[in-house]
Amino acid sequence: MNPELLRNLWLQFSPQRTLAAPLILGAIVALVAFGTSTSWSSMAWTANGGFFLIAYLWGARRAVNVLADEITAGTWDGQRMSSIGPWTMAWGKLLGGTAYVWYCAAICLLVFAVAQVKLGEAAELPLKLTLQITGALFVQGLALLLALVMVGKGRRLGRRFVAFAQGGAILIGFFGISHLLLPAGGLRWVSDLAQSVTWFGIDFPIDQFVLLTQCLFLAWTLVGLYRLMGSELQVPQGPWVWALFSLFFIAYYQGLAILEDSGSTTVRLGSALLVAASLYYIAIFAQAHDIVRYRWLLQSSREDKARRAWALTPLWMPSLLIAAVLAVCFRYSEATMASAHPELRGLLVLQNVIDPRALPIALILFMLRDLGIVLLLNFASRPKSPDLAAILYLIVLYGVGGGLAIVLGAYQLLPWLIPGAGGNGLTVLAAPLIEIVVVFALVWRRWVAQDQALRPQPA
Amino acid sequence: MIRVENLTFDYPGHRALSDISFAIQPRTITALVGPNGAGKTTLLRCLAALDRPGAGRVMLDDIDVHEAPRAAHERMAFLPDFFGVYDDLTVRHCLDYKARAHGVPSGRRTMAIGSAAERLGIADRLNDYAGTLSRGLKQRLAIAQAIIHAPQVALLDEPAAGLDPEARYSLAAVFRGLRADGMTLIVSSHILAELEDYSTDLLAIRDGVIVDHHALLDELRTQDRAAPMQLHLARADQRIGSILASLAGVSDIVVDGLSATFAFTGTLDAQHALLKRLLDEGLPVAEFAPLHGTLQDSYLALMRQQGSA
Repeated sequence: MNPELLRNLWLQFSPQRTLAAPLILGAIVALVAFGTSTSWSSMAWTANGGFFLIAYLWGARRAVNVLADEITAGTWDGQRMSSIGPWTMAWGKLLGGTAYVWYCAAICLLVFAVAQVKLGEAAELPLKLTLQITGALFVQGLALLLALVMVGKGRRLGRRFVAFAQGGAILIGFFGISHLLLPAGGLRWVSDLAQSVTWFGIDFPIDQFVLLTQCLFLAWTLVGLYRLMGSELQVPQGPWVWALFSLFFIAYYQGLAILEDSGSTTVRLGSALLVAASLYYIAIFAQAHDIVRYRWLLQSSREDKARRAWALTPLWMPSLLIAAVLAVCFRYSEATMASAHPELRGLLVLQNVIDPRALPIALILFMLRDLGIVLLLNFASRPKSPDLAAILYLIVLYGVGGGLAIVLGAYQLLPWLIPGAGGNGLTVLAAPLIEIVVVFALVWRRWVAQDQALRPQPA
Repeated sequence: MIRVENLTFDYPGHRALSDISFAIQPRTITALVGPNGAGKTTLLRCLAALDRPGAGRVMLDDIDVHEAPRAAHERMAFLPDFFGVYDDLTVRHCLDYKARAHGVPSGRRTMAIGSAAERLGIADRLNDYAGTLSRGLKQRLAIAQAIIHAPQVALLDEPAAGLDPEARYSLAAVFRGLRADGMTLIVSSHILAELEDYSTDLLAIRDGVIVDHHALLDELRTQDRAAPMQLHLARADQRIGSILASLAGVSDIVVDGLSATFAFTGTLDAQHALLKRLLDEGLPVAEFAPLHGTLQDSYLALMRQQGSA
């Protein structure tokens, strides 16, 4: 048996706790039953709500705490020194840490199942149960994934970070499924309109498509857990899985693209570029950017140590490459789009503010500038919350700066603040290029200063 | 047993280990000493494959610990400075979990638990919750957990920190016992008097570089190294100074009445030859032995020397 799972079972299933769960939950069910004269719909609603509270809210917290507790108690290094492999450790922690949660959640599911049968909705029961279970597993997996990301960034997983990982997992895993991964589906639920989703031209009933989406992203979450756990256990990792996930994510969104006629290539490339750019920013903030990593990456590359260099390659590199390829493709298909679909080009040209031809290349340049800002803050001799500071700077640059320039009509400033905006092709490319030169000159200064500190001192 | 080659480890803005190399012989207890911030903990964590160095490698026999960390961990134990135990598990469950985590086969698990508990003197506490144990007993439990899979190498970072003198004394006995059973230990500590009780070798580190590495026990001395010696005569003999001065490997001679101290460079065989020569010269030798200074004296002298260099 998985030692990590077994240890968690020992910890969580004392006779007292094992008895307490059915007694407390049974009392709540009895209260609802007597209070509503055994209304099965109330019972189903209560069981469903109970499952959400237990499996999603509590489950996500437990999934984070299963790692946070180890770090706080000083037992994490002992686990890292064991012979347990990354996959065994990952699923042992995911299922072990939430074992008692699932015990309680199973009681809720049982009550829900009985209520559904009594309501005559037994036919839909397997799908509904599978949706609930995969959804909760996805959220719990995401919570543990976020916890591992933060541990990888050198965080100590205090209360603030536990709450962040729990909240982030619920936000992405629960609301994300309906509103981010299924933008059209979310609207349909709210307006209670059509109950199907078209994906790569195939019509799916919405519940089935949510299940498919949950299963796909749950699978990727498990792959991510395996990889991040491998990093913690010092198994060398390259960024190829992240690159594959990026391609999958782009393809997934392509399936949801509404336009189906032959002239929509540019729009498809545009939407793919936006997804790739989003993934690039996620990659930037998902990893630590201390100067030591980059220094050894450079050294390994110089010494032709390809395996070591690959293991040190940051995630943003493949993301930037994918985005750059998409940007170039977008740029060269834009002319076709402009002639075939002038109305679509009109969507991009906001009061003559956006130059669609320069937009993709300008976007890549801005992405590079933003990387420079992140590196600049991380390469400080004593960096303090560099991620938070970088996010703040970017909000100020794009949101406040760009917004003010538009509101005040200062369009000549826009090439410095918003990709592809406010000028002719030359200006919108020259402005971010100058910004890149300035930012990376500052990065270079910090690099040299840190590099000198790391050189062996003369005897 | 352990071979460290050109190990370099950086923190942002600070080089913690600078191109260090050394080898650890099997069945030794190496005292890893150095001032705060010298790089002791970083070195132990690199040896344990918990942190990956920027350059260099650590070989455990034929295993590169950073290329095959799981394989290395099967043969290694590490007790960090700030260790923890599972307070809500019994001692038996704590040991059982570690045995499973290290892949001890089910047929041998009960025996491994009994043996580790017996060795660390916690066999009568197996059914107690770890959270109820004293600091000293928790320390013993942590060591028992670390060695449950009978590793070849144990790395211990400040294992005696926070222990009372009695607990420290019994811990020293445990370490000697582990060495007697064939284990190789590297122990980092600030309490030099305690290290002296059981260490066979000294590895001194300062500012991320090795400043000294030598055997402390005479029987392990294999290489030529000046060691202080003391000689007592049964009756006065004026020739003692001149005879000692004429012998190879002898230096820094100080004669004081019936006694003489000097530095001698040579192996145990050379030491035997020296004594034979003194007797052959007709000196009335009553005592002839290495002059033991404390580990603390050597360490302070070394650090002063490094500081003034």
